[in-house]
Amino acid sequence: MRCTSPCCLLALLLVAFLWPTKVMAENKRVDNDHGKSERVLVVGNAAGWVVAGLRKGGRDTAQIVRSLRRYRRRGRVRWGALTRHKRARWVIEAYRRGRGRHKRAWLVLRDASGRRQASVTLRRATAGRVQAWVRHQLDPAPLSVASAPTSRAVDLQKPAWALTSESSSDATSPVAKAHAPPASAAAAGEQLEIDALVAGELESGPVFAAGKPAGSSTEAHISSDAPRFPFTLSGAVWAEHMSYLLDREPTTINSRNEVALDMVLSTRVGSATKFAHAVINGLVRADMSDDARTEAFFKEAYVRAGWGPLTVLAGKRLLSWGVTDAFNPTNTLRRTDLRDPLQPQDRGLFLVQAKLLLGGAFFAEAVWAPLFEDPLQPAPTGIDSDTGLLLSTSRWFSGPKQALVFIPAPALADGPETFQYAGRLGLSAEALDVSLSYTYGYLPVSEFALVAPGVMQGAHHRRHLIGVDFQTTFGRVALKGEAAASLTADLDGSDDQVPDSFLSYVVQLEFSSIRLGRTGHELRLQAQFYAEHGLRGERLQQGLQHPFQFLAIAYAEWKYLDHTGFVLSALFDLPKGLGVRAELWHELVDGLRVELAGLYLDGNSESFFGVFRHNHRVLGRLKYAF
Amino acid sequence: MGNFKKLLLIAVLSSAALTSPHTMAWAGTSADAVMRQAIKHLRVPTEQSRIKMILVNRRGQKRTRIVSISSSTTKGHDRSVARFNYPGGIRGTALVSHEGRDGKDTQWLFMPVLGRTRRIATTQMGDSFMGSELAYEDIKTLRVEDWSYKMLRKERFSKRPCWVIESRPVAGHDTSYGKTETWIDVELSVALKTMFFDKEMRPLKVVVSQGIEQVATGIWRARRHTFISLRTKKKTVMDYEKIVINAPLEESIFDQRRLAQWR
Repeated sequence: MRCTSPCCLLALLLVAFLWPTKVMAENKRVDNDHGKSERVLVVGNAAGWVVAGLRKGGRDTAQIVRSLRRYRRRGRVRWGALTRHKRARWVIEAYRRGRGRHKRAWLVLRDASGRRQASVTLRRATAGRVQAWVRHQLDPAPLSVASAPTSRAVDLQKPAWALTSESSSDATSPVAKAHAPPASAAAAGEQLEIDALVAGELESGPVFAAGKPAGSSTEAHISSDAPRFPFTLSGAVWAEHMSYLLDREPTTINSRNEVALDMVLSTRVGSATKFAHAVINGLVRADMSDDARTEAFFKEAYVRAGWGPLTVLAGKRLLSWGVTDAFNPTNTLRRTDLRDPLQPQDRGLFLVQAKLLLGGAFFAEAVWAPLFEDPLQPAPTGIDSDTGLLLSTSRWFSGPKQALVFIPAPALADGPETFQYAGRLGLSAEALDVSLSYTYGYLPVSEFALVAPGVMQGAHHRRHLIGVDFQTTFGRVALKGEAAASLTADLDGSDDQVPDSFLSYVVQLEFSSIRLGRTGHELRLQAQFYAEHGLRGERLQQGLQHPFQFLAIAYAEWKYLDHTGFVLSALFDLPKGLGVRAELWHELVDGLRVELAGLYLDGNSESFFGVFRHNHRVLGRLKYAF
Repeated sequence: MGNFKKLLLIAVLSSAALTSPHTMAWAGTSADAVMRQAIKHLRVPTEQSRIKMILVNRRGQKRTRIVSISSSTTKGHDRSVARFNYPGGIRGTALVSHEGRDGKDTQWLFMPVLGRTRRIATTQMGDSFMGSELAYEDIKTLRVEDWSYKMLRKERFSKRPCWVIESRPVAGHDTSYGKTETWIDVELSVALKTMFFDKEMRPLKVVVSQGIEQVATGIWRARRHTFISLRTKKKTVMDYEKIVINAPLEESIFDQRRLAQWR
């Protein structure tokens, strides 16, 4: 509430005028003893009288003291030589004692009567800290409008002029009260520290850039940002060791010792809507423990061109449909390396893709993949002639164990019979992303089946897949889901040679990061539920094709300042299996990261984790991304 | 008579005080107007910047992040896309934010490792941005109506005359700050220093702006912002390697459906 009557206004103006001015520290240029100009930190009191001058920028205690003494000798410290020195009310004196390591220096603040008011020892003091200290010593008491002095007669013992502003401060303004210096000693110390930090920062550069431009120069900025070289090279190189801890049979591969280089070379010309884009992503890997994993291949190699709402792509491309993280039932048009099923690696397929952006945030997509490539999966490598058991160097082979004759899945001839197609219609709106997809392709792994007594043969099986996915958010929670109906040639489950049709779906809840108590600590939480079952709800035969019937995943990641993290995932293979994965990572320097991980599996023989419960393993990786 | 002379003197002096430039400036300037002007300069139709962030810990160890940000304000709604260029581990990651009618953001994140665009739950405004001392709300453009302002005083900061303005969030505004104090250059309407306080009004961090230059007619921007955490004493230096104001931008760069095309 403010009174606007003439009397009140006059009273306000009177108080405003009579209010003591300020206590201020500022920078001034003065000529030193050698006739050169140098920056001086000048401390004034409430009446605007200069009481101290320090050379600014010096970090050495001795240097500050020398400056003080010099100014003191010249009368600038003790008497405020710059202005009104004869009426100075506060005096700052500097002392130094000892030499070398024992050198000690301090400042003393005295009032006009010579009484010592405060002192500070200068240890690694900067000009900023001295400034902050002086300001604090001059402004120890909070300002109260009610107790504001109405004349320049000031009680030196209890200085009431608490404003630190140089210029006009409205005494009647309640904000003056609000900005009173901190009353407690702790708060005062904090303010002192803040001022010192700011002052130290200002020493690193000027507030204004040299040579202020007179006007707009946006075009110049744009042209200067054009890339010198039209190609971008990025990627990662890493060395990794992984060991299985139990059942290290000589016939199986029990460790991984790989060195790999994953490199992406890309170029792009044009604008956001009319462009041409080419990408080559190659991987070179040498595994000292597993010759099959020593290889070099292109994960992706494609060209893409965009013209307005239409984008066309051709080449080897890794499609990434779907929205969830661990499982994507709708994302099937790809070649996945499942030789390590807990660390699958995807590779692109040769395809032609067209994407059309429609109005109203809709989009449509069509894909044609003319070439079929065999899936990579754990496979038998022979038959033990004595026992008749299938042999495999992989610790993840889970097919039938006994056969007389084993025949791998035959390679499929390229042609219209093996073409794969997919289409998708989607919407990406403010509240919801949703898409409906159809794929005519193959099951991700080839199935082995007994085709005759003692004769086992692999085969690739076709399927139609109808899928839907969505993602939306509610405040700090994101809800995502996918569902797919996989329809094979055996819709009713009557044909033993053909895998059954099935439904699969996944729901994922994720929470945006939660700040923990101390600054920089964050926690991310995620939960997923995945299920697969027959069209009529029947249980599917457990194996690499259907590893999990019901799987619940809880995921927690603690992260500290983006350079250290700990991830804990628990995978509940319902009802009788459990997998726990823990990973610790730390970024040593920009791009260089070390990772340590461990995996524990348990369960009964009906669960995937139970079947492979002896595959506990530890992993260490050093990775540099560039 | 003596009293009369005294009164006259006071009246004359009061008039002098009234007409002095400082008093005029003080009396005629409201905090709202100063902040409105400052924020008006921030809310330009389009802006592109390339920022090098140097994260310095207490021991002086440094980590570098480079991000390019393009933003557009159309009909009062902001849209932005941030692309991360360095270090290699996050290169190609892109974050698109669309401000909805309710003022809240919808965000999509494209991660090259996954190859897909993910809708993400809106980050808490106080969350750290890329592990730095910046919160997400620090990189969002301020809205005048989200805060109430109070003129604290006028004082010099780094040789420049500044208004010191206190901003407190209005009820319902989602922020992690209890208040801020901003030193705004009187002449150029650009913030030179800002103090952030938490909900308990304890000092949280301070940001100092340096290298201020005119990037478009009448619009001044700092080339460097230094955020100093007053709790941890960690520091984040944001160097603007490029600032382009009001250059034409294709709206399609903010289209989340196109994010994957930029890899």
